[in-house]
Amino acid sequence: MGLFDKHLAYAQAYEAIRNAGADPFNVKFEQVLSPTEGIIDGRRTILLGSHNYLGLTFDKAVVEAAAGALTESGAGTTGSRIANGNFDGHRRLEAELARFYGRKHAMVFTTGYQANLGMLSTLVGRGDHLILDADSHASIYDASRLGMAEVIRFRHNDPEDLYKRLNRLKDVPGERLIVVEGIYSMLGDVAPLKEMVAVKREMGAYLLVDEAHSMGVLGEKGRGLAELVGVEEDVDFVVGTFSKSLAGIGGFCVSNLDGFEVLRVTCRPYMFTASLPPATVASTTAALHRMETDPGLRQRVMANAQRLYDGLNGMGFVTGPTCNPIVAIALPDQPVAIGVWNALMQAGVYMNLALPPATPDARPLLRASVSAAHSDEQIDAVLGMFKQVGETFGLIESDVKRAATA
Amino acid sequence: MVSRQRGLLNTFTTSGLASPLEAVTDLTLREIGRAAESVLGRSVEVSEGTDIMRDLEVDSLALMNIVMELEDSFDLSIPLDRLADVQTAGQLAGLIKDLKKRN
Repeated sequence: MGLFDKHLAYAQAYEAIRNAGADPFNVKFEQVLSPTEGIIDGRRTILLGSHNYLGLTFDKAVVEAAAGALTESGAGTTGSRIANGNFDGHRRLEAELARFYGRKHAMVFTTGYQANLGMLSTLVGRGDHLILDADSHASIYDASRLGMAEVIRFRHNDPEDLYKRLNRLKDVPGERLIVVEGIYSMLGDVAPLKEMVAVKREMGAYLLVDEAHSMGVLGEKGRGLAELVGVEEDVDFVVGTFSKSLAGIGGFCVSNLDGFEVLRVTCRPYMFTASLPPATVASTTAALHRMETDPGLRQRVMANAQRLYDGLNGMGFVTGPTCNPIVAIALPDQPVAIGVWNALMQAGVYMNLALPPATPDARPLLRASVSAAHSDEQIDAVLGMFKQVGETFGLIESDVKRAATA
Repeated sequence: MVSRQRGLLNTFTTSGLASPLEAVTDLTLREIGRAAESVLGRSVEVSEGTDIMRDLEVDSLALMNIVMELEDSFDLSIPLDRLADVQTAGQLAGLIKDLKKRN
């Protein structure tokens, strides 16, 4: 018996995947040329597998801000904010985020994962109830294990099921915190937030929305799903990340609730980790500014998503229910999914492969993340590759066949 | 472990108390089997000692879906944190019985 024996089944499954071709969970970029292109295995490859929604990773203002802060304030903070101090940039970024969301309070975390871990484990405690969408991100599930609240799941995007669960708690004491995501990262579908807010109002609960994938993407100002559907007043907490639209790393929570600041001395994933380095704080602040002042970025990423989504659906691929910068393609089984992923990689496009149990409904998924920086030509090239690979694997009918059966 | 649990129920049988108790447990177990079959799309054999994940070859996702089915049929919520201690169908039936009492 050894420590790793319990992982044997995973090790064997992983080995089988690796033997089928390249390793989808350990892709090596020899060089990243731009937000949309890199060199993998010596080949120029279109990058369609990073959440670089606004394409800001190489933005001049963003990179220069990081370089300036690096030179001025050094490589790292070498400590946590409670024990080792705040840098001016941390406070400034928090003020900017609070202003952007129109809320009184903002707290910055070192990763988006930690933002969820910290907020969900601290806002509710023993005797309280944490109410999660069944398809929540791993960071939300992990947070539910760190905290002491009772954890209840409701069916994905199902306000009636949410109502049912809150109703069962009717006479049970304790606070309730509902957690949903703006855009869900596996299928790119959105929460029916208006309906959920109605349930929240009727039953009495707090609502936290994780806008990790919807910040910079949805809403006129890019504040996410709550802005898009006009329910920001009813959302008590917004959690988000800097590692997608804002092209860096880190996470945050904003809120209007009085008493919020106590979290700085009670929230362990905030307290007991080193704070973000100056370069990241500066690049994130600059990216937030770019996002705010250039709404064209958001329009471009949505237009690109529409081009890919419509193209794939037109060919007969099975995609997610809503067109968003995450475009998921459902595949029949794991061997086909691995084969298709490898064939597309050979053809010159890098995407994500998501396998059960990480996916809903035990279906393997190919996942594209579209960027504002993709050109029409790149999207069309990807559609061409999908057509070829889809026909080879019998996922879609060829034009000849289609014409014959029409 | 399994035989000891059966033994416990048997003691009740001789005392004349067991039939209703046993019936409740059996009913819950049968419902667990039904939920598993509906999620897995195959027939399964469920008894008190059945290790849900190992014996039914269920992954974490399918287990969650089975639990959701059960929540509907018993009209109660089974908190995730309470599930952490559950390994066998008998333990799950016990938890459901416990939660029913709370309501």
